[in-house]
Amino acid sequence: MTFQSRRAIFSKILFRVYNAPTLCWAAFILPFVCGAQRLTHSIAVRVHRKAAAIHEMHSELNRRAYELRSQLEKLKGLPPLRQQEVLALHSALITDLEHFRAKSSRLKVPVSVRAMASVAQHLKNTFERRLREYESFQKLAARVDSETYYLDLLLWFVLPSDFVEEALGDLTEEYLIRSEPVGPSQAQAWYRRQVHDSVKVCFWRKLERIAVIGTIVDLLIKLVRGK
Amino acid sequence: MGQRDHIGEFEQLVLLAILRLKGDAYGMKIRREIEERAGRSTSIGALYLTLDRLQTKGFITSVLGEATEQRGGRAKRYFTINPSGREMLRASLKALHKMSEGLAIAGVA
Repeated sequence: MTFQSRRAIFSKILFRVYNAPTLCWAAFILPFVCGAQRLTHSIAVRVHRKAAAIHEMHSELNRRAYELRSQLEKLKGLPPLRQQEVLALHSALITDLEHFRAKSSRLKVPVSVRAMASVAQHLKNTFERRLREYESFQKLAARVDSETYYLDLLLWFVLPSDFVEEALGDLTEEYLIRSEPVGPSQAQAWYRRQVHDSVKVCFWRKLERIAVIGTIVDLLIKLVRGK
Repeated sequence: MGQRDHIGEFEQLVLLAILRLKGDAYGMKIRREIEERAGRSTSIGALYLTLDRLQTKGFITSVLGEATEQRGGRAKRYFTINPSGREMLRASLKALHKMSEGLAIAGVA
């Protein structure tokens, strides 16, 4: 077995272990998230359709009220019975307009639907982040013969997933720039120092986040139990 | 006072480096700029954590640039400072200036 295949197998196992909780979670939660997103979307579409229908009726009433207004100016020349008819029609139209205005102002997407949409959006963002992580891992695994493979793998694990690709690219670029004047051994020493310092900073940060999540879960459990 | 109302010393340095580099502010350049000008050696991990935080606070924005062979086929991410970030930096430097005003600290104007 060559060292490349050993490296590839090792990194595949590491990746599966690292991603196992996410995959399990995704298998159970993802169908619910998709369902929730479809539901919130259909509710939002229905509300928008209703709003559009009300808006159409509102503009039609407005147009008729405008026509009546022009007739009102000519009222003086009409017989008294016709005058009364036009005035009654005008006041009925104004009442209808007010009714529709009040109805359209009340027409909003329910709070529960909005909350569900934001939760679904958050979960979608999480999955997208995981997908980015997966893609960057694939790129990393493709460079299995690189001198800095294990160091890169370590950085991939601790760096923020939004920037892991860019950070690895920056390090690779600077490593090449440095290795020209000082030689590869000194450049590698610099690379190792960079990884060591980055891991020190980022790993504690990850642990802090886990500790915060743990504390919140602990508080919630205590709250539920009523202690 | 919330977390969005102030920035730390390293965040100041990062924002100033982005301003100095203008359109060429990406990870490696920012790190080298801080190292050369401020004489402060910093790791790429610490830098990206700070950039991540500043972006979450809305002080900077970033766009993906071109991928080069030199970077192992990975793209650069260019950072620019937002008006809110500029304002925060101005307020932070002003506060620092006010605090040090009139103090006789050797080597500082």
